[in-house]
Amino acid sequence: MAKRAALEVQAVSKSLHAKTIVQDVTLAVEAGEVVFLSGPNGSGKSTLVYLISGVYQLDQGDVWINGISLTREPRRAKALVTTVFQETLFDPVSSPLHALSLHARFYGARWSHKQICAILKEFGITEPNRSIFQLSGGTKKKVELLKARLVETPVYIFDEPFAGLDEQSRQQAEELIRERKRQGRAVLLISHEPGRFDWVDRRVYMEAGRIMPTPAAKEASPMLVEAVVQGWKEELRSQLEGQHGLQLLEVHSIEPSDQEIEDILKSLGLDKLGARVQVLRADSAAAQEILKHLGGTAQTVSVPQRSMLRTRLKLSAEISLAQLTQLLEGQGLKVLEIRRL
Amino acid sequence: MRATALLWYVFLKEAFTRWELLLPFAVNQLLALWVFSWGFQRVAGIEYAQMLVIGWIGFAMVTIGVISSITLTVDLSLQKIRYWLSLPVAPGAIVLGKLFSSSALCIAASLFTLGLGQLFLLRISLSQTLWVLVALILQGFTLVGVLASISIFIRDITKIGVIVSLIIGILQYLSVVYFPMEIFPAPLRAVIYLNPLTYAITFIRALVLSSRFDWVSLAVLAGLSVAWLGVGWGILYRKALHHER
Repeated sequence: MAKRAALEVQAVSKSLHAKTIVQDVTLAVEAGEVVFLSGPNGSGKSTLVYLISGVYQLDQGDVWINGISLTREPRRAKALVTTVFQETLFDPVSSPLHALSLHARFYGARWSHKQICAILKEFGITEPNRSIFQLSGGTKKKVELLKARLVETPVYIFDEPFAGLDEQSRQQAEELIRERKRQGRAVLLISHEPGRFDWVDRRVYMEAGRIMPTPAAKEASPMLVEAVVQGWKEELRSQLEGQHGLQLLEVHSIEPSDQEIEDILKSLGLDKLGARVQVLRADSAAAQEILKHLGGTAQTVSVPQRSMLRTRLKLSAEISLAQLTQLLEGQGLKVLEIRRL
Repeated sequence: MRATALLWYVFLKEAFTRWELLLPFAVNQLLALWVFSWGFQRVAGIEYAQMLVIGWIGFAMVTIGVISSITLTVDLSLQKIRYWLSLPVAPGAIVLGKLFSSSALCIAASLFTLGLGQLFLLRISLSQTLWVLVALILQGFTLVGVLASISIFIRDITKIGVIVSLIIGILQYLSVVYFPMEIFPAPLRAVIYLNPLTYAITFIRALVLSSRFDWVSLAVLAGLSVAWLGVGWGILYRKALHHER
Protein backbone atom coordinates (compact mmCIF):
# COMPACT_ATOMS: atom_id res chain seq x y z
CA MET A 1 0.00 0.00 0.00
CA ALA A 2 1.28 3.47 -0.88
CA LYS A 3 2.46 5.60 2.01
CA ARG A 4 -0.18 8.10 2.98
CA ALA A 5 0.44 11.80 3.62
CA ALA A 6 0.14 13.05 7.21
CA LEU A 7 -3.21 14.57 6.28
CA GLU A 8 -5.11 13.22 3.36
CA VAL A 9 -8.56 14.42 2.42
CA GLN A 10 -10.08 12.08 -0.15
CA ALA A 11 -13.07 13.04 -2.31
CA VAL A 12 -14.86 14.65 0.62
CA SER A 13 -18.33 16.12 0.14
CA LYS A 14 -20.75 17.76 2.52
CA SER A 15 -24.22 19.22 2.11
CA LEU A 16 -25.98 21.39 4.66
CA HIS A 17 -29.62 22.38 4.37
CA ALA A 18 -29.79 20.67 0.97
CA LYS A 19 -26.96 22.83 -0.32
CA THR A 20 -23.62 21.37 -1.30
CA ILE A 21 -20.96 23.20 0.68
CA VAL A 22 -17.94 20.99 0.02
CA GLN A 23 -17.80 18.98 -3.17
CA ASP A 24 -15.38 16.20 -3.95
CA VAL A 25 -12.43 17.87 -2.22
CA THR A 26 -9.13 16.03 -2.33
CA LEU A 27 -6.14 17.47 -0.56
CA ALA A 28 -2.93 16.18 0.98
CA VAL A 29 -0.47 17.72 3.40
CA GLU A 30 2.84 15.98 3.92
CA ALA A 31 4.75 15.93 7.19
CA GLY A 32 6.82 19.11 7.52
CA GLU A 33 4.73 20.89 4.91
CA VAL A 34 2.56 23.98 5.27
CA VAL A 35 -0.30 24.16 2.80
CA PHE A 36 -2.05 27.49 2.52
CA LEU A 37 -5.74 27.17 1.70
CA SER A 38 -7.39 30.33 0.49
CA GLY A 39 -10.64 31.26 -1.18
CA PRO A 40 -13.48 33.74 -0.96
CA ASN A 41 -15.97 33.86 1.89
CA GLY A 42 -18.45 31.00 1.71
CA SER A 43 -16.18 28.85 -0.42
CA GLY A 44 -16.42 26.00 2.10
CA LYS A 45 -13.02 26.34 3.81
CA SER A 46 -14.31 26.37 7.38
CA THR A 47 -16.75 23.55 6.63
CA LEU A 48 -13.78 21.55 5.38
CA VAL A 49 -12.01 22.30 8.67
CA TYR A 50 -15.05 21.06 10.60
CA LEU A 51 -15.05 17.90 8.49
CA ILE A 52 -11.37 17.17 9.02
CA SER A 53 -11.61 17.78 12.76
CA GLY A 54 -14.65 15.49 13.13
CA VAL A 55 -17.10 18.22 14.11
CA TYR A 56 -19.19 17.60 10.99
CA GLN A 57 -19.92 14.17 9.61
CA LEU A 58 -18.69 13.36 6.15
CA ASP A 59 -21.39 12.75 3.56
CA GLN A 60 -18.89 11.21 1.18
CA GLY A 61 -15.20 10.47 1.08
CA ASP A 62 -12.82 10.03 3.96
CA VAL A 63 -10.06 11.83 5.83
CA TRP A 64 -6.86 9.99 6.72
CA ILE A 65 -4.72 11.34 9.51
CA ASN A 66 -1.36 9.60 9.69
CA GLY A 67 -2.95 6.70 7.87
CA ILE A 68 -5.93 6.41 10.22
CA SER A 69 -9.40 6.76 8.75
CA LEU A 70 -11.64 9.34 10.38
CA THR A 71 -14.81 7.47 9.44
CA ARG A 72 -13.58 4.08 10.66
CA GLU A 73 -11.63 5.11 13.74
CA PRO A 74 -12.78 8.61 14.67
CA ARG A 75 -11.36 8.51 18.17
CA ARG A 76 -7.84 7.53 17.09
CA ALA A 77 -7.84 9.82 14.08
CA LYS A 78 -8.98 12.87 16.07
CA ALA A 79 -6.26 12.28 18.64
CA LEU A 80 -3.72 13.04 15.90
CA VAL A 81 -4.98 16.44 14.84
CA THR A 82 -5.08 19.80 16.59
CA THR A 83 -7.49 22.30 15.15
CA VAL A 84 -7.39 26.00 15.86
CA PHE A 85 -10.90 27.02 14.90
CA GLN A 86 -11.85 30.36 13.43
CA GLU A 87 -13.89 31.05 16.56
CA THR A 88 -13.11 29.31 19.80
CA LEU A 89 -15.39 26.43 20.71
CA PHE A 90 -14.38 26.49 24.36
CA ASP A 91 -17.16 26.82 26.90
CA PRO A 92 -17.62 30.61 27.18
CA VAL A 93 -18.03 30.49 30.96
CA SER A 94 -14.78 28.61 31.34
CA SER A 95 -11.50 30.46 31.88
CA PRO A 96 -8.50 30.31 29.51
CA LEU A 97 -6.48 28.52 32.19
CA HIS A 98 -9.10 25.90 32.92
CA ALA A 99 -10.12 25.37 29.28
CA LEU A 100 -6.55 24.99 28.02
CA SER A 101 -5.45 22.83 30.92
CA LEU A 102 -8.35 20.46 30.33
CA HIS A 103 -7.90 20.55 26.57
CA ALA A 104 -4.26 19.51 26.87
CA ARG A 105 -5.25 16.59 29.09
CA PHE A 106 -7.65 15.30 26.43
CA TYR A 107 -4.57 14.79 24.24
CA GLY A 108 -2.46 13.32 26.99
CA ALA A 109 -0.38 16.48 27.54
CA ARG A 110 0.34 17.42 31.11
CA TRP A 111 0.93 21.08 31.88
CA SER A 112 0.89 22.56 35.33
CA HIS A 113 -1.28 25.63 35.91
CA LYS A 114 1.90 27.57 36.52
CA GLN A 115 3.30 26.59 33.13
CA ILE A 116 0.05 27.43 31.34
CA CYS A 117 -0.13 30.79 33.11
CA ALA A 118 3.41 31.54 31.92
CA ILE A 119 2.50 30.66 28.33
CA LEU A 120 -0.66 32.73 28.53
CA LYS A 121 1.38 35.64 29.80
CA GLU A 122 3.88 35.15 26.99
CA PHE A 123 0.97 35.63 24.58
CA GLY A 124 -0.24 38.71 26.45
CA ILE A 125 -3.11 37.07 28.34
CA THR A 126 -2.76 38.46 31.81
CA GLU A 127 -6.09 37.36 33.27
CA PRO A 128 -6.02 33.57 33.02
CA ASN A 129 -9.00 33.08 35.32
CA ARG A 130 -11.40 35.47 33.62
CA SER A 131 -14.33 33.88 31.77
CA ILE A 132 -13.69 33.48 28.06
CA PHE A 133 -16.89 35.30 27.14
CA GLN A 134 -15.53 38.40 28.90
CA LEU A 135 -12.37 38.49 26.79
CA SER A 136 -11.83 40.60 23.68
CA GLY A 137 -12.02 39.00 20.25
CA GLY A 138 -8.23 39.04 19.84
CA THR A 139 -7.64 37.48 23.25
CA LYS A 140 -10.18 34.74 22.53
CA LYS A 141 -8.30 34.05 19.32
CA LYS A 142 -5.03 33.78 21.24
CA VAL A 143 -6.60 31.32 23.70
CA GLU A 144 -7.75 29.20 20.77
CA LEU A 145 -4.34 29.48 19.16
CA LEU A 146 -2.61 28.22 22.28
CA LYS A 147 -4.17 24.80 21.76
CA ALA A 148 -1.53 24.37 19.07
CA ARG A 149 1.16 25.40 21.54
CA LEU A 150 0.12 23.00 24.30
CA VAL A 151 -0.82 19.92 22.33
CA GLU A 152 1.60 17.81 20.29
CA THR A 153 0.01 16.11 17.29
CA PRO A 154 1.33 15.18 13.83
CA VAL A 155 -1.25 17.40 12.09
CA TYR A 156 -2.28 20.99 12.80
CA ILE A 157 -5.08 22.96 11.22
CA PHE A 158 -5.18 26.72 11.62
CA ASP A 159 -8.39 28.37 10.49
CA GLU A 160 -7.88 32.14 10.26
CA PRO A 161 -5.26 32.17 13.02
CA PHE A 162 -4.30 35.81 12.50
CA ALA A 163 -7.77 37.36 12.43
CA GLY A 164 -8.12 40.04 15.06
CA LEU A 165 -4.53 39.79 16.31
CA ASP A 166 -2.22 42.73 16.83
CA GLU A 167 1.16 42.77 15.08
CA GLN A 168 3.10 41.22 17.94
CA SER A 169 0.61 38.43 18.49
CA ARG A 170 0.48 37.84 14.76
CA GLN A 171 4.22 37.35 14.73
CA GLN A 172 3.94 34.95 17.66
CA ALA A 173 1.25 33.02 15.81
CA GLU A 174 3.37 32.86 12.67
CA GLU A 175 6.33 31.69 14.72
CA LEU A 176 4.19 28.99 16.30
CA ILE A 177 3.18 27.70 12.85
CA ARG A 178 6.76 27.87 11.58
CA GLU A 179 7.91 26.00 14.67
CA ARG A 180 5.44 23.21 13.99
CA LYS A 181 6.70 23.05 10.40
CA ARG A 182 10.29 22.85 11.62
CA GLN A 183 9.27 19.98 13.89
CA GLY A 184 8.08 18.08 10.82
CA ARG A 185 4.36 18.46 11.48
CA ALA A 186 1.83 18.80 8.69
CA VAL A 187 0.09 22.18 8.75
CA LEU A 188 -3.02 23.24 6.90
CA LEU A 189 -3.33 27.02 7.11
CA ILE A 190 -6.46 28.88 6.14
CA SER A 191 -6.25 32.64 6.13
CA HIS A 192 -7.69 35.75 4.60
CA GLU A 193 -5.13 37.98 6.22
CA PRO A 194 -2.59 39.60 3.92
CA GLY A 195 0.99 38.53 4.25
CA ARG A 196 3.91 37.12 2.37
CA PHE A 197 4.04 33.76 4.12
CA ASP A 198 7.41 32.87 2.61
CA TRP A 199 7.40 29.73 4.73
CA VAL A 200 4.30 28.32 3.05
CA ASP A 201 5.19 25.36 0.84
CA ARG A 202 2.12 25.15 -1.31
CA ARG A 203 -0.99 27.16 -1.99
CA VAL A 204 -4.41 25.73 -2.71
CA TYR A 205 -7.41 27.70 -3.79
CA MET A 206 -10.97 26.79 -2.96
CA GLU A 207 -14.06 28.22 -4.57
CA ALA A 208 -17.71 27.16 -4.44
CA GLY A 209 -16.83 24.12 -2.35
CA ARG A 210 -14.21 22.78 -4.77
CA ILE A 211 -10.45 22.89 -4.99
CA MET A 212 -9.65 25.03 -8.03
CA PRO A 213 -6.16 24.34 -9.32
CA THR A 214 -5.88 27.20 -11.83
CA PRO A 215 -6.59 30.33 -9.78
CA ALA A 216 -4.15 29.20 -7.12
CA ALA A 217 -1.21 30.55 -9.01
CA LYS A 218 -3.07 33.76 -9.63
CA GLU A 219 -3.85 34.10 -5.96
CA ALA A 220 -0.29 33.40 -4.95
CA SER A 221 1.40 35.92 -7.18
CA PRO A 222 1.24 39.59 -6.23
CA MET A 223 -1.22 41.65 -8.22
CA LEU A 224 -0.64 45.07 -9.76
CA VAL A 225 -2.99 47.76 -8.62
CA GLU A 226 -3.54 51.35 -9.65
CA ALA A 227 -5.09 53.63 -7.09
CA VAL A 228 -6.00 57.31 -7.32
CA VAL A 229 -5.91 58.92 -3.91
CA GLN A 230 -6.19 62.29 -2.28
CA GLY A 231 -4.04 63.45 0.60
CA TRP A 232 -0.79 61.73 -0.42
CA LYS A 233 2.28 62.67 1.57
CA GLU A 234 5.77 61.45 0.76
CA GLU A 235 6.33 60.18 4.28
CA LEU A 236 3.55 57.64 3.73
CA ARG A 237 5.84 55.77 1.31
CA SER A 238 7.96 54.29 4.07
CA GLN A 239 4.91 53.50 6.17
CA LEU A 240 3.18 51.60 3.38
CA GLU A 241 6.08 49.76 1.85
CA GLY A 242 6.66 46.27 3.10
CA GLN A 243 3.37 46.21 4.98
CA HIS A 244 1.49 43.03 4.03
CA GLY A 245 3.82 42.51 1.09
CA LEU A 246 3.04 45.92 -0.43
CA GLN A 247 5.42 47.53 -2.89
CA LEU A 248 5.01 51.04 -4.22
CA LEU A 249 6.10 50.99 -7.85
CA GLU A 250 5.15 54.48 -9.04
CA VAL A 251 3.83 57.68 -7.52
CA HIS A 252 2.50 60.40 -9.84
CA SER A 253 0.81 63.63 -8.91
CA ILE A 254 -2.18 64.45 -11.04
CA GLU A 255 -2.46 68.17 -11.75
CA PRO A 256 -5.99 69.47 -11.81
CA SER A 257 -7.27 70.33 -15.27
CA ASP A 258 -8.57 73.82 -16.06
CA GLN A 259 -12.02 72.36 -16.30
CA GLU A 260 -11.79 70.89 -12.82
CA ILE A 261 -10.55 74.21 -11.43
CA GLU A 262 -13.33 76.03 -13.15
CA ASP A 263 -15.86 73.60 -11.76
CA ILE A 264 -14.58 74.24 -8.28
CA LEU A 265 -14.69 77.98 -8.75
CA LYS A 266 -18.19 77.75 -10.11
CA SER A 267 -19.18 75.78 -7.06
CA LEU A 268 -17.89 78.72 -5.03
CA GLY A 269 -20.12 81.13 -6.95
CA LEU A 270 -17.40 82.56 -9.26
CA ASP A 271 -18.84 81.65 -12.61
CA LYS A 272 -17.44 84.52 -14.77
CA LEU A 273 -13.69 84.14 -14.70
CA GLY A 274 -10.98 85.28 -16.97
CA ALA A 275 -8.99 82.81 -19.02
CA ARG A 276 -6.03 82.87 -16.70
CA VAL A 277 -6.50 80.99 -13.49
CA GLN A 278 -3.65 80.56 -11.09
CA VAL A 279 -3.68 78.01 -8.34
CA LEU A 280 -2.14 79.31 -5.16
CA ARG A 281 -0.67 77.08 -2.52
CA ALA A 282 -2.93 77.93 0.31
CA ASP A 283 -5.15 75.85 2.46
CA SER A 284 -8.85 75.75 2.16
CA ALA A 285 -9.66 78.19 4.97
CA ALA A 286 -7.25 80.80 3.60
CA ALA A 287 -8.71 80.42 0.14
CA GLN A 288 -12.16 81.05 1.48
CA GLU A 289 -10.88 84.16 3.22
CA ILE A 290 -9.28 85.49 0.02
CA LEU A 291 -12.43 84.83 -1.96
CA LYS A 292 -14.44 86.68 0.64
CA HIS A 293 -12.26 89.77 0.32
CA LEU A 294 -11.82 89.76 -3.45
CA GLY A 295 -15.33 88.92 -4.43
CA GLY A 296 -16.41 87.70 -7.89
CA THR A 297 -14.22 90.10 -9.93
CA ALA A 298 -10.89 88.56 -9.00
CA GLN A 299 -8.87 86.79 -11.65
CA THR A 300 -6.40 85.26 -9.25
CA VAL A 301 -8.00 83.09 -6.66
CA SER A 302 -7.01 80.35 -4.37
CA VAL A 303 -8.73 76.99 -4.42
CA PRO A 304 -8.63 74.42 -1.61
CA GLN A 305 -5.42 72.60 -2.32
CA ARG A 306 -6.18 69.24 -0.76
CA SER A 307 -9.44 68.88 -2.59
CA MET A 308 -7.72 69.36 -5.94
CA LEU A 309 -4.45 67.47 -5.73
CA ARG A 310 -4.64 63.79 -6.46
CA THR A 311 -1.99 61.13 -6.69
CA ARG A 312 -1.85 58.06 -8.86
CA LEU A 313 -0.17 55.13 -7.13
CA LYS A 314 0.96 51.99 -8.83
CA LEU A 315 1.38 49.18 -6.34
CA SER A 316 2.17 45.54 -6.11
CA ALA A 317 0.08 43.80 -3.48
CA GLU A 318 -0.75 40.33 -2.21
CA ILE A 319 -4.02 41.40 -0.71
CA SER A 320 -7.52 41.96 -2.05
CA LEU A 321 -8.63 45.34 -3.40
CA ALA A 322 -10.97 45.76 -0.45
CA GLN A 323 -8.14 45.11 2.01
CA LEU A 324 -5.83 47.46 0.12
CA THR A 325 -8.47 50.21 0.14
CA GLN A 326 -8.87 49.72 3.86
CA LEU A 327 -5.12 49.91 4.33
CA LEU A 328 -4.78 53.14 2.34
CA GLU A 329 -7.73 54.72 4.11
CA GLY A 330 -6.17 53.71 7.38
CA GLN A 331 -3.24 55.98 6.47
CA GLY A 332 -5.60 58.95 6.05
CA LEU A 333 -5.84 58.77 2.27
CA LYS A 334 -9.08 59.19 0.37
CA VAL A 335 -9.29 56.48 -2.27
CA LEU A 336 -11.03 57.86 -5.36
CA GLU A 337 -10.38 54.98 -7.72
CA ILE A 338 -8.80 51.59 -7.35
CA ARG A 339 -8.41 48.87 -9.94
CA ARG A 340 -6.38 45.82 -10.74
CA LEU A 341 -4.03 46.20 -13.70
CA MET B 1 -10.19 5.76 26.35
CA ARG B 2 -8.44 8.23 28.60
CA ALA B 3 -10.05 11.14 26.79
CA THR B 4 -13.47 9.48 27.01
CA ALA B 5 -13.08 8.89 30.74
CA LEU B 6 -11.96 12.48 31.21
CA LEU B 7 -14.93 13.83 29.26
CA TRP B 8 -17.31 11.71 31.32
CA TYR B 9 -15.70 13.04 34.47
CA VAL B 10 -16.21 16.58 33.16
CA PHE B 11 -19.88 15.83 32.46
CA LEU B 12 -20.35 14.41 35.95
CA LYS B 13 -18.61 17.35 37.55
CA GLU B 14 -20.73 19.78 35.56
CA ALA B 15 -23.90 17.92 36.56
CA PHE B 16 -23.05 17.84 40.26
CA THR B 17 -22.01 21.48 40.51
CA ARG B 18 -25.33 22.84 39.33
CA TRP B 19 -26.05 24.47 42.66
CA GLU B 20 -28.93 26.53 41.27
CA LEU B 21 -30.69 23.21 40.78
CA LEU B 22 -29.37 21.20 43.70
CA LEU B 23 -29.71 23.67 46.53
CA PRO B 24 -33.46 24.41 46.19
CA PHE B 25 -34.00 20.70 45.62
CA ALA B 26 -32.25 19.81 48.88
CA VAL B 27 -34.23 22.37 50.87
CA ASN B 28 -37.46 21.21 49.24
CA GLN B 29 -36.81 17.57 50.05
CA LEU B 30 -35.84 18.36 53.62
CA LEU B 31 -39.09 20.24 54.18
CA ALA B 32 -41.18 17.61 52.40
CA LEU B 33 -39.77 14.68 54.37
CA TRP B 34 -40.09 16.57 57.62
CA VAL B 35 -43.74 17.39 56.92
CA PHE B 36 -44.46 13.81 55.84
CA SER B 37 -42.82 12.37 58.91
CA TRP B 38 -44.98 14.13 61.46
CA GLY B 39 -47.96 15.54 59.55
CA PHE B 40 -49.02 12.54 57.50
CA GLN B 41 -48.07 10.21 60.31
CA ARG B 42 -50.54 11.98 62.59
CA VAL B 43 -53.34 12.36 60.06
CA ALA B 44 -53.10 9.01 58.24
CA GLY B 45 -50.85 6.85 60.38
CA ILE B 46 -47.26 5.66 60.05
CA GLU B 47 -47.99 3.11 57.33
CA TYR B 48 -49.36 5.72 54.96
CA ALA B 49 -46.56 8.14 55.86
CA GLN B 50 -43.95 5.46 55.08
CA MET B 51 -45.67 4.55 51.84
CA LEU B 52 -45.77 8.20 50.86
CA VAL B 53 -42.09 8.71 51.69
CA ILE B 54 -41.14 5.77 49.43
CA GLY B 55 -43.27 7.26 46.67
CA TRP B 56 -41.50 10.53 47.23
CA ILE B 57 -38.07 8.88 47.02
CA GLY B 58 -38.97 7.59 43.56
CA PHE B 59 -40.47 10.89 42.52
CA ALA B 60 -37.55 12.93 43.89
CA MET B 61 -35.51 12.39 40.74
CA VAL B 62 -38.21 13.70 38.41
CA THR B 63 -37.71 17.47 38.70
CA ILE B 64 -33.94 17.19 38.42
CA GLY B 65 -34.31 14.56 35.71
CA VAL B 66 -36.58 16.74 33.58
CA ILE B 67 -34.33 19.78 33.82
CA SER B 68 -31.08 17.91 33.31
CA SER B 69 -32.50 15.97 30.36
CA ILE B 70 -33.60 19.16 28.67
CA THR B 71 -30.23 20.73 29.43
CA LEU B 72 -28.38 17.79 27.95
CA THR B 73 -30.50 17.95 24.81
CA VAL B 74 -29.82 21.67 24.52
CA ASP B 75 -26.09 21.05 25.07
CA LEU B 76 -26.11 18.70 22.12
CA SER B 77 -27.31 21.43 19.82
CA LEU B 78 -25.04 24.26 20.92
CA GLN B 79 -21.40 25.22 20.50
CA LYS B 80 -20.42 22.72 23.22
CA ILE B 81 -21.18 19.72 21.03
CA ARG B 82 -18.83 21.04 18.36
CA TYR B 83 -16.02 21.17 20.86
CA TRP B 84 -16.75 17.71 22.24
CA LEU B 85 -16.95 16.25 18.73
CA SER B 86 -13.55 17.72 17.91
CA LEU B 87 -12.01 15.84 20.85
CA PRO B 88 -10.56 12.33 20.53
CA VAL B 89 -13.78 10.78 21.79
CA ALA B 90 -16.27 8.70 19.79
CA PRO B 91 -19.55 10.60 19.19
CA GLY B 92 -21.57 7.74 20.71
CA ALA B 93 -19.51 7.94 23.89
CA ILE B 94 -20.24 11.67 24.20
CA VAL B 95 -23.99 11.00 24.15
CA LEU B 96 -23.67 8.05 26.54
CA GLY B 97 -21.59 10.17 28.92
CA LYS B 98 -24.27 12.86 28.94
CA LEU B 99 -27.01 10.30 29.57
CA PHE B 100 -25.02 8.67 32.39
CA SER B 101 -24.23 11.97 34.06
CA SER B 102 -27.89 13.00 33.99
CA SER B 103 -28.90 9.58 35.32
CA ALA B 104 -26.29 9.84 38.07
CA LEU B 105 -27.68 13.19 39.13
CA CYS B 106 -31.20 11.73 39.21
CA ILE B 107 -30.08 8.74 41.26
CA ALA B 108 -28.20 11.01 43.67
CA ALA B 109 -31.35 13.09 44.10
CA SER B 110 -33.36 10.03 45.05
CA LEU B 111 -30.60 8.74 47.33
CA PHE B 112 -30.54 12.06 49.15
CA THR B 113 -34.29 11.74 49.70
CA LEU B 114 -33.83 8.13 50.75
CA GLY B 115 -31.30 9.31 53.35
CA LEU B 116 -33.77 11.83 54.71
CA GLY B 117 -36.54 9.22 54.71
CA GLN B 118 -34.33 6.86 56.67
CA LEU B 119 -33.52 9.64 59.10
CA PHE B 120 -37.14 10.64 59.72
CA LEU B 121 -39.35 7.63 59.13
CA LEU B 122 -38.01 4.50 57.47
CA ARG B 123 -36.01 1.62 58.86
CA ILE B 124 -34.33 0.04 55.87
CA SER B 125 -31.73 -2.67 56.39
CA LEU B 126 -28.41 -2.68 54.55
CA SER B 127 -29.35 -5.53 52.20
CA GLN B 128 -32.64 -3.80 51.42
CA THR B 129 -30.75 -0.57 50.76
CA LEU B 130 -28.66 -2.29 48.09
CA TRP B 131 -31.77 -3.47 46.24
CA VAL B 132 -33.36 -0.06 46.64
CA LEU B 133 -30.23 1.39 45.09
CA VAL B 134 -30.50 -1.03 42.16
CA ALA B 135 -34.14 -0.06 41.62
CA LEU B 136 -33.30 3.65 41.75
CA ILE B 137 -30.41 3.23 39.30
CA LEU B 138 -32.69 1.42 36.86
CA GLN B 139 -35.38 4.05 37.30
CA GLY B 140 -32.80 6.80 36.77
CA PHE B 141 -31.76 5.30 33.42
CA THR B 142 -35.36 4.77 32.39
CA LEU B 143 -36.42 8.26 33.32
CA VAL B 144 -33.51 9.97 31.60
CA GLY B 145 -34.03 7.82 28.51
CA VAL B 146 -37.72 8.76 28.37
CA LEU B 147 -37.14 12.42 29.11
CA ALA B 148 -34.24 12.80 26.70
CA SER B 149 -36.36 11.24 23.97
CA ILE B 150 -39.18 13.66 24.71
CA SER B 151 -36.97 16.71 25.14
CA ILE B 152 -35.61 16.62 21.60
CA PHE B 153 -39.06 17.74 20.47
CA ILE B 154 -38.63 21.00 22.35
CA ARG B 155 -38.17 23.54 19.64
CA ASP B 156 -38.64 26.68 21.70
CA ILE B 157 -36.52 26.83 24.83
CA THR B 158 -38.57 29.77 26.17
CA LYS B 159 -41.46 27.36 26.70
CA ILE B 160 -39.34 25.18 28.96
CA GLY B 161 -41.29 26.19 32.11
CA VAL B 162 -44.59 24.99 30.66
CA ILE B 163 -43.07 21.74 29.45
CA VAL B 164 -41.34 21.01 32.76
CA SER B 165 -44.57 21.63 34.71
CA LEU B 166 -46.55 19.44 32.34
CA ILE B 167 -44.15 16.50 32.49
CA ILE B 168 -43.74 16.73 36.25
CA GLY B 169 -47.52 16.96 36.71
CA ILE B 170 -48.19 13.86 34.61
CA LEU B 171 -45.43 11.80 36.26
CA GLN B 172 -46.50 12.93 39.72
CA TYR B 173 -50.27 12.54 39.63
CA LEU B 174 -50.75 9.71 37.14
CA SER B 175 -48.56 7.54 39.30
CA VAL B 176 -48.30 5.52 42.49
CA VAL B 177 -46.40 8.30 44.26
CA TYR B 178 -49.30 9.15 46.61
CA PHE B 179 -51.37 5.97 46.53
CA PRO B 180 -50.83 2.26 45.89
CA MET B 181 -51.88 0.82 42.56
CA GLU B 182 -54.77 -1.13 44.09
CA ILE B 183 -56.91 1.90 44.77
CA PHE B 184 -56.96 3.11 41.16
CA PRO B 185 -59.80 2.10 38.81
CA ALA B 186 -58.79 -0.36 36.08
CA PRO B 187 -58.70 2.11 33.12
CA LEU B 188 -56.44 4.45 35.04
CA ARG B 189 -54.12 1.60 36.01
CA ALA B 190 -53.28 1.04 32.35
CA VAL B 191 -52.08 4.65 32.16
CA ILE B 192 -50.16 4.39 35.42
CA TYR B 193 -48.32 1.31 34.16
CA LEU B 194 -46.89 3.53 31.43
CA ASN B 195 -45.33 5.79 34.06
CA PRO B 196 -41.68 4.82 34.52
CA LEU B 197 -41.89 5.62 38.25
CA THR B 198 -44.46 2.92 38.89
CA TYR B 199 -42.14 -0.07 38.96
CA ALA B 200 -39.38 1.20 41.25
CA ILE B 201 -41.86 2.61 43.75
CA THR B 202 -43.90 -0.61 43.76
CA PHE B 203 -40.73 -2.68 44.14
CA ILE B 204 -39.33 -0.58 47.01
CA ARG B 205 -42.66 -0.50 48.84
CA ALA B 206 -43.00 -4.26 48.64
CA LEU B 207 -39.40 -4.72 49.79
CA VAL B 208 -39.37 -2.20 52.63
CA LEU B 209 -42.93 -2.32 53.90
CA SER B 210 -43.83 -5.99 53.29
CA SER B 211 -40.36 -7.60 53.07
CA ARG B 212 -41.49 -9.05 49.73
CA PHE B 213 -39.19 -9.20 46.75
CA ASP B 214 -41.20 -8.11 43.71
CA TRP B 215 -39.19 -9.73 40.91
CA VAL B 216 -41.74 -8.80 38.29
CA SER B 217 -41.51 -5.06 38.94
CA LEU B 218 -37.73 -5.21 39.03
CA ALA B 219 -37.54 -7.24 35.81
CA VAL B 220 -39.93 -4.87 34.02
CA LEU B 221 -37.90 -1.94 35.29
CA ALA B 222 -34.64 -3.52 34.08
CA GLY B 223 -36.18 -4.10 30.66
CA LEU B 224 -37.53 -0.57 30.52
CA SER B 225 -34.21 0.93 31.54
CA VAL B 226 -32.29 -0.88 28.80
CA ALA B 227 -34.96 -0.09 26.22
CA TRP B 228 -35.37 3.59 27.07
CA LEU B 229 -31.67 4.20 27.51
CA GLY B 230 -31.20 2.66 24.06
CA VAL B 231 -33.96 4.75 22.53
CA GLY B 232 -32.70 7.94 24.22
CA TRP B 233 -29.13 7.22 23.13
CA GLY B 234 -30.23 6.54 19.57
CA ILE B 235 -32.26 9.73 19.31
CA LEU B 236 -29.62 11.90 20.94
CA TYR B 237 -26.81 10.31 18.92
CA ARG B 238 -28.65 11.21 15.76
CA LYS B 239 -29.17 14.71 17.06
CA ALA B 240 -25.50 15.08 18.03
CA LEU B 241 -24.26 13.84 14.69
CA HIS B 242 -26.58 16.04 12.73
CA HIS B 243 -26.32 19.10 14.96
CA GLU B 244 -25.10 21.09 11.97
CA ARG B 245 -28.46 20.70 10.28
